[in-house]
Amino acid sequence: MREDIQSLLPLTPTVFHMLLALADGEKHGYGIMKAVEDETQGQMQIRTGSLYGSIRRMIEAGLIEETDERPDPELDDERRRYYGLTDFGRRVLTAEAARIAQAMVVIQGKHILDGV
Amino acid sequence: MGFEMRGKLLVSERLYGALLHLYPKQFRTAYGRQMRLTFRDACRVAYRRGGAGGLLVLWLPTLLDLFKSALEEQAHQGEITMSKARLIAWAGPLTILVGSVWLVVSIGDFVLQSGLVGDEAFVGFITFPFFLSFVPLLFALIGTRLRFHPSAGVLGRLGLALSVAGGAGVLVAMLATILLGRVAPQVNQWPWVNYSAVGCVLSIRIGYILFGVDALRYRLLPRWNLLPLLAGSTVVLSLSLDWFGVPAFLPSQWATPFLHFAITGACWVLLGIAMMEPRREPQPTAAI
Repeated sequence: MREDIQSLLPLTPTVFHMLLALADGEKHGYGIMKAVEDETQGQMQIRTGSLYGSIRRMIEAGLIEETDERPDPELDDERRRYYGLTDFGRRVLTAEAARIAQAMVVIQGKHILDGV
Repeated sequence: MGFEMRGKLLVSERLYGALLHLYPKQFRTAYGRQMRLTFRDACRVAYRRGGAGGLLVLWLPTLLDLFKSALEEQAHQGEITMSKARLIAWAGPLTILVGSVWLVVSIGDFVLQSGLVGDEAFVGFITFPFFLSFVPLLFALIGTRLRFHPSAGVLGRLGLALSVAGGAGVLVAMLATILLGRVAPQVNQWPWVNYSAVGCVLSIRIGYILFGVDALRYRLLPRWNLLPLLAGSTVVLSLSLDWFGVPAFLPSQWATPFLHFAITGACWVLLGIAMMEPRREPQPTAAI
């Protein structure tokens, strides 16, 4: 399994931010788009076509799955599908975050961000 | 939600729903409804933020993303090869369709110029199908390119590419005119869009002239190899009549557009018929 995780790294920015968006709970398509936009301060905007293309690939790779759980039906359209991280997806996200954190240590050591 | 807002959102959602047909059926079945719901949410937010202009700002990148991701999904599903064969098969019938529309438009223009009918409804009756004909024309041009690209020479390949680029450009210019007209209806003219559209139409014609030269040289069509050159060259006839004057035996007020559209339409109808004939495969040499 460890090899499987390593073969997926580094993740593309889209996949990484989508996994990050799902880290705090299941979301529907627009919820993922909005979370990615908010968490990147608008620097990354995923459009609908790319979003569902990525969702298909991530489901095939076992990173995310459709979930049966729904919020209160009165609060939401029951036709919507929600997506959540799988255990494997969470481990991949952790591995990618660790890789980025390691890079951050180097960045700080070399004072790359000084004066920014 | 206001009535006007609901109407615009509905149009946007339906248009997006129609464009989803660009994706493979399997992908559309799995995600089509979710994509519509997600796009509807994005439209609502965009409209609340910036009104009709906000919708336009959302649509432009969405459209580009849609074409890109649809192409990726088609490639993933392995349907591009299928589409290629289908486009080649449809090139002939679509060329006939476009030619027929142009013939009807030329007759309509003649009727209009002769003063027999002059109301606005009739102008719309001949103008609308003419502009709409550029949609099947683009697919016909793509199919023609896919069919003749392998057998054409450098000149022909360049011509086929120019014609497809021109066809796509005309549609983009038309789409831009519609979108800009919605955003800023008070501005009546967008000269750069018009110039681009004229340039793209010329690109189709020049492309056909180049392709026509190779069609004559290499006998690319099953028959009537002069047609592509003639279809491209009618623009020269039109410009000549405009620049050097109409011959005395023709009534000048309708001669140029009538001849232009009628000859081009006829060329395309015949070209389509020629393209529908089965390709002549090289006959094997009899064993001695």
